[in-house]
Amino acid sequence: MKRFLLLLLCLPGLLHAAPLRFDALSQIAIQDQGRKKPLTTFAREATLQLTGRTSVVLPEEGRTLSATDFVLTLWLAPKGWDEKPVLLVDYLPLRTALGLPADRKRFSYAELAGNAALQTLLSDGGRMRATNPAGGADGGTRLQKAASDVAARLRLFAAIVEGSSFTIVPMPSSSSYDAWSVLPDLPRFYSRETCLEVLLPFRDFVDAWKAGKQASLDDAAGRLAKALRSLNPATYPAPSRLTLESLYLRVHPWRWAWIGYAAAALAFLLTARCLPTAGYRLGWACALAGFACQVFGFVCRIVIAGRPPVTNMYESIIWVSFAVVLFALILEAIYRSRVFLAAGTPLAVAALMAVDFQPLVFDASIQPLTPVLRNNFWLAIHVMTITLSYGAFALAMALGHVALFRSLRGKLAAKHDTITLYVYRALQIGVLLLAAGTILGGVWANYSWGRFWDWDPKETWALITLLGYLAILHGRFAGWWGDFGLAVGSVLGFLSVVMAWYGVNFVLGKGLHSYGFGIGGTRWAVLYAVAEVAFVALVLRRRAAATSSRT
Amino acid sequence: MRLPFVTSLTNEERSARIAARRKASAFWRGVHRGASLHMAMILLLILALACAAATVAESRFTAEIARHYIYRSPLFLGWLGLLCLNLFCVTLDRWPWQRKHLPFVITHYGIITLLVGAAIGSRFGYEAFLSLEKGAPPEGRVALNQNIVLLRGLHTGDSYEIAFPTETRLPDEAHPRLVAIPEAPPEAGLVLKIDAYAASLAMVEDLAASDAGGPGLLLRFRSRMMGQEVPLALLQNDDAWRKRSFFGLATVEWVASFDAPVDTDKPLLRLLKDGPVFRYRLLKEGSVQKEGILLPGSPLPLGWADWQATLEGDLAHASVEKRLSPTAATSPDAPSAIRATLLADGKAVSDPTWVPSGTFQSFPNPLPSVDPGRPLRIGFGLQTKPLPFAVELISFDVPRDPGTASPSDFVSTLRFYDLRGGTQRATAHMNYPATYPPGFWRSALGLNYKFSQANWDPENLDHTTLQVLHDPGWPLKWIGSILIVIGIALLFYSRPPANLK
Repeated sequence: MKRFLLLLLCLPGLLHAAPLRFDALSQIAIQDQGRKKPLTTFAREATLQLTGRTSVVLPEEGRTLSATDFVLTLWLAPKGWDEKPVLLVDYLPLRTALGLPADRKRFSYAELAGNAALQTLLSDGGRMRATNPAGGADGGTRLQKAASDVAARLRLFAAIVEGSSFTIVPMPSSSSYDAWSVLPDLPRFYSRETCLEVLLPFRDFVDAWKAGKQASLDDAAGRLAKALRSLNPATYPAPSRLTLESLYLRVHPWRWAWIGYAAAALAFLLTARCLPTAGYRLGWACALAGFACQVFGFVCRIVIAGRPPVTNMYESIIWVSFAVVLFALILEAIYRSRVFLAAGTPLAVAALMAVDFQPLVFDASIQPLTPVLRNNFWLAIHVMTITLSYGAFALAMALGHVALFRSLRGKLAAKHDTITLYVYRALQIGVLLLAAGTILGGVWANYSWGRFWDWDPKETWALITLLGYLAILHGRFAGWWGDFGLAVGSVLGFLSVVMAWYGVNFVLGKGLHSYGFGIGGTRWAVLYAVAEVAFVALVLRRRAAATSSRT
Repeated sequence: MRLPFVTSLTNEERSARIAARRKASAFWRGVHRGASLHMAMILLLILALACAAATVAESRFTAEIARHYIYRSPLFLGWLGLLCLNLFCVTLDRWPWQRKHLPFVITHYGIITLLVGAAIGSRFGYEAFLSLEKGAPPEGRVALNQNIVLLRGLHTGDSYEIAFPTETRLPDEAHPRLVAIPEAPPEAGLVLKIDAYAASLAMVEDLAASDAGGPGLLLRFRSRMMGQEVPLALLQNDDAWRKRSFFGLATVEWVASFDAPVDTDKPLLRLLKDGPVFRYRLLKEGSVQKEGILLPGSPLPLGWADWQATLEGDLAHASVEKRLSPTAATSPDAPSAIRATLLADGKAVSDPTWVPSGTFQSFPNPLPSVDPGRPLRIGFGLQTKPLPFAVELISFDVPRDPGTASPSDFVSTLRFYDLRGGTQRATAHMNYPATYPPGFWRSALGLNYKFSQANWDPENLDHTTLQVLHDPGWPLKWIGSILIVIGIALLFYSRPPANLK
């Protein structure tokens, strides 16, 4: 009842503060971290980095600010914001080391900036920083990484409040200097008239924003964008590029993709008994719709970034889920068995949901690459081949689960069960692509790092995975196991893929593939591995029990 | 169409021939036994396990440990050899081949070719580093990733290189490494004792007794999280050493009274001599956080991250001296080093001396028979290897992403000098190594040298480090790789899977 009354009291306030929309700002480009992007993208990325969320919740004030509103507030009306607990410190040992309360995750700028323990931690981390351009540097301890993340948040917060983040003014075409500058620097480069052409719409924009007038805001933002573009149209991103990026951000095609796949999975699973034909068609349609969303997402990302979308954990998970569905679609089109898509789509849903709901672990922002990766040819052929193989192995793993479930229910034929053929087909694709991708990696390494093979952990785990899958295939010929063993192998073999893919970068954390290193998610990976092993153990036990009862 | 290597025998004739040779020849019996699929499975699985163990070892310890104990151990290499043998037997086992065997044979010969290429590369080729400075004379030697002790011959002055692997089994005082001095008469028993190795050596401060000096004390700061250890000396009567800054983040001060005014907002550690003991007081923004007695040897948590301070000792008359000492800090200014003592007949005839990497140190020559004015020169550092040409750095450029300081590439422009005085320019940038000598066939056959961008020093943009690769096994690696991929594709897709139709 109390809550209801509270809601009633808040209602007029909520109605009054109909949130402003800032779509018009997407036509204003900002040069940030080596890339020109829409101001709205910057606001979203900055808000995510500062707070760990894409919008800012202020429970005490009973309101939520959108990313753009939050960043504009920090920039244009920052008074009192250094006291508000918005900056994320999510790593508990860091909170302990800094003497911060363990039960809060967000702290104010004032609380963090004055923390001496943080300064000590950072200066120690700074002295130990390595300078190897090809990678190979150890990333320091997790604590240092967490501390430097917090320091980056403090710097970003200060830069937004000071306005130095807002490098939205392109240099005149006569200048050889390519770093954009901030609005207060306009008079250094442009005539008084030109400055006024930019600053007047900016003033109108600020006034409209403060007054909460949507129409005036849109109009002023449009004029500001036009004025900024006219300063140097040649270096300004094309309007279509900015529109595409803001569209990509707004539409969020990955979410639609997993919704499509989830619908497909449901259609396949629920209609297996009743309406199988209609369900099958519906499943195909949903899977294709989800697939189309993913294709759209990739096209956007490739156009925006100008490179293949396989350069960090976020992109590679999306790419692998794409590969799972791609191979499922191809094999389904050949065999018309329903099981490929029924097994593959739930996996794609799980992967896409994981990246969608863990934006801090999986960084969605598009950043310039470390120099060694700036080669679209090798990125495309080495990294995409390897990650496609992960997709094929993931599909084999999903099909392996189907086979093991069939075995649990006593439905797996002792020999020549079609599911074994399907598992085998998926494994074939994986082995071929992994062998090719690993070798291509060696050829690339020969050019970039100056050697073909040097037992780098990533290389080694690719080899271990390959050897594991070769053993799974050869073991069948050697008579060590049969169809059932192949299914078990496809499930357990995927653990080595997880190790090669995630484990090397997030657990081992050594070697030359250091640009992909990260932290977090270890608990989930271990949980997954334990669950798989337990599942296989359960199936084996049931099978042994069934065999002994038959004899 | 009849394919090469494909027999025209019928299935029965082929089986009969195989059965006959099994009976008649011990060689063929060996081949058929060596082609065991069980053996292949064991080889594969153990290889995978060994590799997995090596990556864990690398993560827990260092890449060098993994390399020494696994990847380059004779057992591991022997295992790969055994795998090669098994693969070879497997292909012979099916001889004379039928059309259906070709994908299988191609794949397995591909693996053998690749492994042979790798063996040739590691036997006849090498990987090395080349550090170049703009304006320096052309460099004709590259550094291998292998430490050596370099001794000069007593009579001839010739160089003697002794391998000094630092990955494993490092010498210590209980297990020193003894190296005989070359060209010394055996009866002199002249031996170099190496009894310590430091991964990094730096000047650190220490307290030394000095009659002229006043009271002094030595604190040692440790941080487990940082893996750091920093000694810090204080002298009561010397203003420069009475109050010390701790990396600019905090202050450490020896005071006559705790009531002395505080002039800093930063964390402050104050020490006070009170009879035989030291009292301490920790302050932050002027207010007292903690105080008590600082007992020698027991660490005091400071509340500055996880730093702890330990009182190492104090002297009534002290001065501060700086000396070379091993340190936990990793910085380019702190080279690795060995500690060496010269022994004659088992007795030390020199002080223990640190020899930092890349330097020579002189030891007094105790032999009267040899020119006594000529000291013994002992060096330590990376082994070098001559190139058949010389390289000069013309320029080093680091283009940046627009508007940032982050590098978008590293470009070394090089000039190569051949032995006949010819020169050639080339650039090495990320993903695009410079190769020398030029020419398609040299490149295809791996007979050239490849210079890839490897390291840079943000503080010195006239300096670059290149990785140098000379790999005569390269063509076999290429051919093997292509055979493997083609073979697997044919194996999987040239016929329906066996037993699964």
